[in-house]
Amino acid sequence: MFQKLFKYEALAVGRLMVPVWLGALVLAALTGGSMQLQNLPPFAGTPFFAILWTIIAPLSVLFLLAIIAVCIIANIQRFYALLGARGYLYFCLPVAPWQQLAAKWAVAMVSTALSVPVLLLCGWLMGGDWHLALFAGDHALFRIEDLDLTWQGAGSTAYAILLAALAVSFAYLYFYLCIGIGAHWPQHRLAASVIVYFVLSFLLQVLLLLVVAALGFYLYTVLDFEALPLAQAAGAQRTGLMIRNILILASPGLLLAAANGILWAVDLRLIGKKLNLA
Amino acid sequence: MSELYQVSALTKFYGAKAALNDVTFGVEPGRLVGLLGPNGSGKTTLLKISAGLLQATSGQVLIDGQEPGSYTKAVTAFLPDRMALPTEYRVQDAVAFYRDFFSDFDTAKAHAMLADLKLEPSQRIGAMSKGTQEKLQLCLTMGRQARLYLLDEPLGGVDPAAREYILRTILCNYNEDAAVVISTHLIEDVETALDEVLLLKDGALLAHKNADELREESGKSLNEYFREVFRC
Repeated sequence: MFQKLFKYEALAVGRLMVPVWLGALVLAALTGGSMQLQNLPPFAGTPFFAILWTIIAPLSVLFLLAIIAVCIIANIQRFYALLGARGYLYFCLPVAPWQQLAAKWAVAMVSTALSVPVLLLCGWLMGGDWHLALFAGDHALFRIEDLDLTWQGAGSTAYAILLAALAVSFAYLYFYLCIGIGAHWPQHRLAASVIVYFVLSFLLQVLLLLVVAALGFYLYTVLDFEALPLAQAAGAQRTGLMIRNILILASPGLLLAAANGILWAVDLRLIGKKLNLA
Repeated sequence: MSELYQVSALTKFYGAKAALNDVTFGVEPGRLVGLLGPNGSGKTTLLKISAGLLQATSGQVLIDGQEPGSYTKAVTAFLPDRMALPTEYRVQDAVAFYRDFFSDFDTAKAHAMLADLKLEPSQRIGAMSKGTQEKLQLCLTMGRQARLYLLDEPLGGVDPAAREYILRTILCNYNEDAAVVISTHLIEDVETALDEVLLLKDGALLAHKNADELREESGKSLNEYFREVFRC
């Protein structure tokens, strides 16, 4: 059943996203193309492509922003609709609440992830240097000379991608939470969701500030943060320093993973045990 | 015969106001039950709780012995009082959606009902009139071979000719082992079809009686009885 839910969800989001992706790519290609053509000998000195570029370039940038905006809004709107009239169809399906949540979340994550290469491709197309420059040259999409191909480099990249994925997941689950709480108001659900978003965000920011301050205090005092650099340490001190460094590096990921877990559990409760369709 | 649909001491509060107050009844398979009551009497709340769209404050609903959940949703066909189908869908998309999710969905039967309505598979739902959308939703709901049909105001907001079509569709398309609960305040239209009536007033169950017995006891038609009981 999850696969079916995912299919229908992906089709609904894809119906919105694919035209935006294609539109952005076409505009980016036109921008890059007009830039190239205005420098080619037959057209050099003629204003047509320069004017075309002046018109299309801002549109391309707008479409790049639209990719992000439409992706986020479309996915949030789908969840909002689930707790409105559309819920009268979807919550009557013989599927578990976690499958409903998982389908929405998975499609949101996939559509966001797919938007990233589209954005990169648009940027590359807009650069105008298309001489097989996917992996080399100043305007290459991925410059091999910039890639860190060591294990450490690959690990860092993988961790950065994981952090980004966790952050995106957190953002969607957080929006779902606000919508889920807002849905408990019998009227003005949208306004209630927006108010919940701002109030909850403020409270969470204050809480996060306190946690970070406490963590910083703990690191500087209890863990002797300004101890010897790792290279100069030896034996048990070196092991301790390594564990501390790993913990420091892993803490954002662990915090985000924990936050995702909590949000998932609360969201699931809101659309399961606490479901109250208006 | 054991009861297919059981409601025990069901209570639902919205804030301090009781939408349902200690409602208890049972419905056996094969019965067509009218859930009657004026606006705000708790009909929709009762059906929404039974369909698993709303949580009760206290009490219990059992459908085929199970509390509302994945199993009961597989055996219950719920028709909401509003348009729930995605308006961007075409008729064929909606049929495919029901076929994909409900193993008891009879595609041929649904297509036959849609053909009666002269609805083209390629017709977009958003372009249909409100009445046609409601009829499409009803066809999809009745296209299922469910064990329990919960129909919330299927006759509301449509013209008398359409009401006749809707009622005929309901009566011709539920199997004999299934129970049907129709919520309505348009009693005159359903009066002759009902086996039992559930009368709700201010969230409380006023009566649960056999329709013929109620007519005999009161010496009135159900419509007249309803008007008398709920006179403002």
